[in-house]
Amino acid sequence: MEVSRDVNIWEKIVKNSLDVICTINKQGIYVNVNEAFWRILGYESREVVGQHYARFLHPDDLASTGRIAEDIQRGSRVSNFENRGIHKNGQEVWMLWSAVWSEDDDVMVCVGRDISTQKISRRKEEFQKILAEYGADTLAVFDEKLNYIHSGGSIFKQMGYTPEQLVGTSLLDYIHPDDLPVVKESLAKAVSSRNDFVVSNLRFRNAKGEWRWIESTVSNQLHNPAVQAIVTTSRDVTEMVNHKVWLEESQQRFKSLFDYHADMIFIQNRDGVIIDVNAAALAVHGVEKDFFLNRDLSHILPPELVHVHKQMLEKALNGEPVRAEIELPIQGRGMASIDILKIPVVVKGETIGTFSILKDVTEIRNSNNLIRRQAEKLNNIMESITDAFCTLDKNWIFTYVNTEFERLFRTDRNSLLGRNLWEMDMGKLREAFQKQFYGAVETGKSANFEIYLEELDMFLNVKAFPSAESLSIFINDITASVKAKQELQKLSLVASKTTNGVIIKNANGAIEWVNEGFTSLTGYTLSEATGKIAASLLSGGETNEATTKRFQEKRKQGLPYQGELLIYNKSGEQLWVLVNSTPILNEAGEVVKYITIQTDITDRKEAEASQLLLTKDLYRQNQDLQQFTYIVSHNLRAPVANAMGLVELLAVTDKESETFNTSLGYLKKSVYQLDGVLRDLNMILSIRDKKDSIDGERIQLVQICKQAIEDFRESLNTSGAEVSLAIEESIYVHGDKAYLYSVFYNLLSNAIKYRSPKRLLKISINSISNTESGKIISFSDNGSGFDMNLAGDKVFRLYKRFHTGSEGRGIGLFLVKAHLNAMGGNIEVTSQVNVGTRFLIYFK
Amino acid sequence: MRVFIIDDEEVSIFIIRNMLTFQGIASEEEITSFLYSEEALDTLLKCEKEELPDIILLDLAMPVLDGWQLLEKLAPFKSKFERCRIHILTSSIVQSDEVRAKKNSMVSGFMHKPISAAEISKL
Repeated sequence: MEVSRDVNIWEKIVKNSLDVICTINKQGIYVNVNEAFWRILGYESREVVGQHYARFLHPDDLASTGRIAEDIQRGSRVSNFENRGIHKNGQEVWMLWSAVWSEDDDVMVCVGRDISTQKISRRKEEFQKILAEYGADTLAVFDEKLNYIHSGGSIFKQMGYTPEQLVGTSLLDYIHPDDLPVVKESLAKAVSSRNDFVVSNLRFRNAKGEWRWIESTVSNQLHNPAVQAIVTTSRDVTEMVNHKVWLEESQQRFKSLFDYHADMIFIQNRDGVIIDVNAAALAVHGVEKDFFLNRDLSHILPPELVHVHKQMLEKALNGEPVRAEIELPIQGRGMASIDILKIPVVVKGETIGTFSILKDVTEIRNSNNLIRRQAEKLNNIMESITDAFCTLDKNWIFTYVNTEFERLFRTDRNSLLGRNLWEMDMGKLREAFQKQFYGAVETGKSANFEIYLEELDMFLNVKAFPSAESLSIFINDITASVKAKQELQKLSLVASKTTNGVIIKNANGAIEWVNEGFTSLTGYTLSEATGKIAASLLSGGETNEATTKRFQEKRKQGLPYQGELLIYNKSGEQLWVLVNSTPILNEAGEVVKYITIQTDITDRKEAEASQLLLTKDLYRQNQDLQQFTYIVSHNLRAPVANAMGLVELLAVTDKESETFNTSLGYLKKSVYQLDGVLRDLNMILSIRDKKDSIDGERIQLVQICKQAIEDFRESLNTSGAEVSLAIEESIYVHGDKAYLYSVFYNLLSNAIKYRSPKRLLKISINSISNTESGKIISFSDNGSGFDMNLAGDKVFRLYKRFHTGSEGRGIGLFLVKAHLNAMGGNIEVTSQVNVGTRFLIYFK
Repeated sequence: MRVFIIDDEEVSIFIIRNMLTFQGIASEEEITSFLYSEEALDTLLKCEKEELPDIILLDLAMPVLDGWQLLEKLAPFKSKFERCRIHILTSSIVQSDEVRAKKNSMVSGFMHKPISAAEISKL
């Protein structure tokens, strides 16, 4: 009975148990389940018994549950085994099992409790714990005096304090002094209010001593009996505050930049409509902001710029900054050069509009143009420097090279510019250049030195001018002047040894140096000659002025000159020199010196003079010989030929005829003519022979003249001629009296013979010059004259006649000249047909 | 045959004239002689081409206008004298005169005085 009552009790217990009580056989088949299975998992006992337990389990827990079941069958006792059942409605149900194998019943007796609720609350706790430790907000609990009662674990992460460090301390100890009033005010507010509120902008000192900005939500829980405290959740907003400050500053910077920017700035939206414009733009255009706002920029621009603007806007809206320079009319200023920079405004990857910065670059452009022109001018100046010229920067890099530099060093500037001087292959010059250039740069003083460039056989003068930033180098090819100097030295050495006179003059012709040869030639010593002009020092009365003038002209032109010159030595004696003068030029081609060599040619000139006399004499003799030949061929043979012809004629002519008699008469005439010619020849030869033996008798000229006139008195009177004689009695000549008589006799004879039939003869004889060096007598008549063009130089030739139909033989004037020449005199004639003839007679 | 004799010596003209007539080269009427060369020049320049003589015998050594000068004056009218033969007849025996005569295209011949019968026959 007792047992039965007990069984009933257990049945009741099992039936009403909140936990699932069940038995499962070795195959895992439910044998018995109580009602709790239905309450927990929604299945009635009949739906469960006979089914495998797996049917009611979460698939993920089958394996673990299977392993536990095996353990239990092997005798293990299991408690606190958790798995998930599946409620009939499909929901998961967390179950906590204890089970044991009943050998007697050969089943597993299991008791399972629904622990879903505990599971959820346990997770919540976990979450809260994680939130408290790792969340962004820190939970803190204070008493009414703001002493820490509790602090969330995240305080360590945020501020470096452990909750334990804070509990018991006052919040006020961690707040920035400036923010304490806010805290106290907030405390008062919290105490008097039941509403939560937020306190911002507090600075909390962290464990490192840094001030961190915090924002707290304050909740008054003093009235809550379970809490009785002030609860706060605080967040470190330092980064946010900083970011906000940065954002504000950035915005302010942008605003300042926009408002006060000196250039015009337009902000346009995607449609090109102006949404803002800065003060500079308004000032430049002299308009109010309304003028621009909400207007399409294209509507404001001049028509010719609209297309350009659209293109720029399009490019900028595609995310590409664009730049252009345009000409824009500006109020009151005319056209201005405007540099436009259009920048896309990109927000979150999308271009929402553009900034346009318009800069008036007129001045800049003008300045640039000016700078460019000045640079070009400077470049031209550099190029026009006749020296080779280059500049180096402070790192010895070539920054400028002119054309002359390229020419001199046979290089081109492109291979030098940007390169280091010391990288250049400069052979033996390197040492000299280094010494001089480094010296110039270190001392700041210019360097000036000469070098010899062996490869190019050039002497160079190098000047280097250092400045703070650069070194300017001028190189001048002085090869010519150096070589000239060397030549001059050599020449001076040679000149000192030569017997010729050597003079070195400066460019103005002043003597700088003379050699001993000059001194022995002219008598002037170096000290006497130095500083003098050679032409003044050595010229005299008979020095040819034309020659010295020619020399001076040549010297002025920088040309060499040479020529023969009669000069005077210190004693006043004449000497002939051959002058040979050569200019010495400097590198600029200017005459710096003249070297003149004087060779004494006096002996040669004297020889030439005597040779000239000899030549003249020979010429005259040759003329005489020709005259003789002429006489022989013509005048001597003419009567002979005639005689021969007459003889021939006589031979064939009747002796009784008139022709015969005439022929005989002509034969006689021819023979006499032959005799006359022979006599003439004899006379001529006698004049020639006598020439050298004329003793130079002193003869009064007028007396001889009168005698000749007297001898022609009869003829003169007959023809009604008039003779005027005006020769001073003081005029005497040296010569032969007979010859003198012959001169006047023949001239008078000719005058009478060739007088004009148209007028009475007038003869005028007068002296026109009477000096020591010579006397000139004029003998003129008003006779028939002759044609000078026909007579030419033959007037005084033997047997030349210039009048036809007269008895002249053509010997008179020949004799006049021959006699005068024999006495060292001469005669000239001028004549005009039907006017008269004039002779000028020269006596020694 | 018409002949002009230009010579300043009467003797020469006498000899030449007689030699020409004697040889039958020309009759007295056909021979014209000039003692003054300037007169001869004047005549030669004035007369028509057909009036020119067949032969001119020209002396060289003459006053005022010698034989060479006369030839120079005629040279510009050379074509007029193409059928008129000019022979130089001179007493000169200088070689240079003969050479000079040969170079002058106006001159057809050069003879030495006295003129021989053989030379006259060649005219």
